[in-house]
Amino acid sequence: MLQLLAFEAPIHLLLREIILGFNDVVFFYVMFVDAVYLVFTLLALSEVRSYLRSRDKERLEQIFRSRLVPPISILCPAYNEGATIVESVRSLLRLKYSLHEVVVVNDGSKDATLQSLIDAFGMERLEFTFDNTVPCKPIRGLYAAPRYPKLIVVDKENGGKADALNAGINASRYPLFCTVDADALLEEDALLHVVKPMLDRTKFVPVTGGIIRAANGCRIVKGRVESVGLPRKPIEIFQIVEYMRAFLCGRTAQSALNVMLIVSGAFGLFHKATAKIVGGYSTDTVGEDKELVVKIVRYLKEQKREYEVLFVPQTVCWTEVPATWQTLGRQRNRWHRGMFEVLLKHKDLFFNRTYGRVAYFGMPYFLFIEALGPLVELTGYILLPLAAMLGLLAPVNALLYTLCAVVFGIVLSVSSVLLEEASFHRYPRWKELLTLNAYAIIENFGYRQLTLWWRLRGTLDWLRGQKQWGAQQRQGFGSGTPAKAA
Amino acid sequence: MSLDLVTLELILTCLGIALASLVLLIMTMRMYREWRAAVGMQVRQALVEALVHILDTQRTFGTDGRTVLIDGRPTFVVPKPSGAVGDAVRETIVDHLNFISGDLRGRLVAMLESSGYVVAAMRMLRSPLGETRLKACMMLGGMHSRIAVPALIEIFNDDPDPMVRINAGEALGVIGAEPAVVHLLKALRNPTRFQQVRVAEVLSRMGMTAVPALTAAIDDEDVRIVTLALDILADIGWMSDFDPAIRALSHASPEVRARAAEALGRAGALDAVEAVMAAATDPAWFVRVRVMKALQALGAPHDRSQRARFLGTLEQGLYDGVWWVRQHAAEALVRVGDDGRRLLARAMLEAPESPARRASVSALQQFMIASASRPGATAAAR
Repeated sequence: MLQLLAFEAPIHLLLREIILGFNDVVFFYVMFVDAVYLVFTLLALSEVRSYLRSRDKERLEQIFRSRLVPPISILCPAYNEGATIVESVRSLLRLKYSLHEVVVVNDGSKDATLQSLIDAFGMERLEFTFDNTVPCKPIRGLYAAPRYPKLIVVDKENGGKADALNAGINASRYPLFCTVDADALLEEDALLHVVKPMLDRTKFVPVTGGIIRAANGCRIVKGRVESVGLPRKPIEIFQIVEYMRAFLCGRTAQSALNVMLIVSGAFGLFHKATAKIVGGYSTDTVGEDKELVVKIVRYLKEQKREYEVLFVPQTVCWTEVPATWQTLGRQRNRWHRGMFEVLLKHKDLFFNRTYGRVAYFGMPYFLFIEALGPLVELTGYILLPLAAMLGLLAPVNALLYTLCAVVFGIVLSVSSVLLEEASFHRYPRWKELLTLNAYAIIENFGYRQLTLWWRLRGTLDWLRGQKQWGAQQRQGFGSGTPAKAA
Repeated sequence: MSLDLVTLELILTCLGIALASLVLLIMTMRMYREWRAAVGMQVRQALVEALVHILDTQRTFGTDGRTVLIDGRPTFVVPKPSGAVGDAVRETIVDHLNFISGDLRGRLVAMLESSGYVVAAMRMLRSPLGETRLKACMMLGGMHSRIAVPALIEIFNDDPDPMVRINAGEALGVIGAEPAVVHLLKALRNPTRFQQVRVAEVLSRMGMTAVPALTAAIDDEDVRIVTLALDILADIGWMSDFDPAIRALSHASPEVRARAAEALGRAGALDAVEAVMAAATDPAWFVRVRVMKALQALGAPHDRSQRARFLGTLEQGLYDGVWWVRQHAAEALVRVGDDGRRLLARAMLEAPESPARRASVSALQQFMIASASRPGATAAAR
């Protein structure tokens, strides 16, 4: 092959041009993507600082004691969450807000999820009828707890997370609903922060979301994060850095540009009437959280209504991130499939003038940077060494190209640690700060490539039409007993 | 490739410098934060020790510039109001101000005034930066100094930034200045709900001082103001002059009628029970819902004929076309006592698909569950 390319035959010249051309495309693509992320980081820095300056926490708590703020229903879908459900519900009941209810939807769990709730809260079965606007699988029973009037448990046939959330929407009483994963813990003032933009903006705010942080390594007592710390396993620390980058930088900037199309399924606040108009959650996708936001944005654009979908970085939701490579791989695979499903389902939004900046920036960003990124990156990993091996590119140049891409990636990861330190400062010990910086550097050597592999598998699985969620494994918050969920 | 070696090296060098700067910045920020916290801690400790003497009511208190005089003798010099030390002093004193009142609060406010903290914050009100002015408003509110009231009213009326205006209003409310009530009521006309909630919360905290102005606001032309005034009055728990709220039960806006019913219920306005009962036939279903809730809150009157009309109104609600009205009527009947539960039992004898029956079953079921959780109440529930 090396010898063949040494000849000056037209076909070989063409091959050489193709390889070098692709290399150029990949390099400039990577630089462009990193530059976009850098702009995001700078935007996020300014946004987060202004958020922090404009508010002082204690006043917010006093303000939200008022009965004038709209009540919120918290929807908590649970499928085989026996290990964590009781602590999660306790933490939800303790939230600071003038009026809220917690609606747990037991989605036909095969473990003791329902029984543990009945035992822990003394729940009683009720005869009750409720609004059934959003279609969902049949309800088997409704439970209330005399000592916990804010708590309702809906027991239904298994239909998946989206179906459980739809049942929760039907059972909820209040005009706003907040979705929270059963393995997630909200900070006590989370609702105060997440609802504020809905009341504070002159434009209509149908959806807001908060930051997701990894609870692994934190000390959790009775459903409350007592002290924040780093976990021991590298896989979990990598995800902490990743979440900082994705949420603190990415979402904050997208929110500032009003092109945010993803609100994490683990924690988001929705205007119920609007969610109902668009038909609630779709049950035919694994990216139901993204899909609902896109449907709402789409509907509001079609109605020519002024709106904002906002990310509130002060609002913290702690969740248990996967602690095994296998589980993490499945999660990333699912997220990627979900993204493709949503993009395909709403393909008519692309570059359609009706949908404004969502059509020209939001959707193309998700397609060209988030969804197709792994494919381009893979091309780079193949072509750059190939070009060096074939003598088309000097090894020094190939090395410098690689280093530029890697160092830019490190700069972005370290920037997210800087943003964290400058704003919320959640990891107070020096050791943690240094560890985070170290992981921001080393995640570019191995971890990034692994996530690339999982996302590529996700693309393939999406092409094959796979719709499975994949098994998840929960450790439980300090319970020590792992529970398996299919 | 289109990039030569030199360009690549240059890019890499720039990125390397950026990375090193970032790491350095992170470390510097952490060190600065820790230094500030250490300084703050030292200042707080010294100040808390001094406060033991300053807040001792057995001793006389005075100030001479930044020097605090206890029993006429200089005991403590308050640090200058600038930098990390000044911030720590102000924060510590403001923290204490939240928990004390009367003469003791006066001592701390006087200390802040004489040592220049209030003047320094008032100077910040003239800053061209909105964020600084906003911070100054919050600081002045926290310091409870009446010296700042005219400056805050000026900012409240004229500042170009709505957030600053609203914070000035809040500060006025926190200081508890009576002239602030009129200005705060004006602020209720602000466009966003959050700002309305903030002002409403401040007015609620002002309590009885705000009641006359709020009662007058029920007759305002702006429906938003009327509804907010009713809500705030209900929060405060006003005790007299229910007439404007009773008049609001026949307001053209159903939203006002609903809020009026709710406010009367929450305030426990027993004199208004007849007017609330009359509103049970309101054409708007959500007004009827609030009426049922208000009747539940007010409770059955002792007068026999009035009690009969009260039960009749609730029974009528039990057969309403809207399930929510029925549900609240049933819940109110449960709480009336045996008379009410008898009416519910009668409704339970109706056909299984009867809406009134369903509401009765649901209300009685919830009542029994709730009663079962209260020791000694089980027999009554049965």
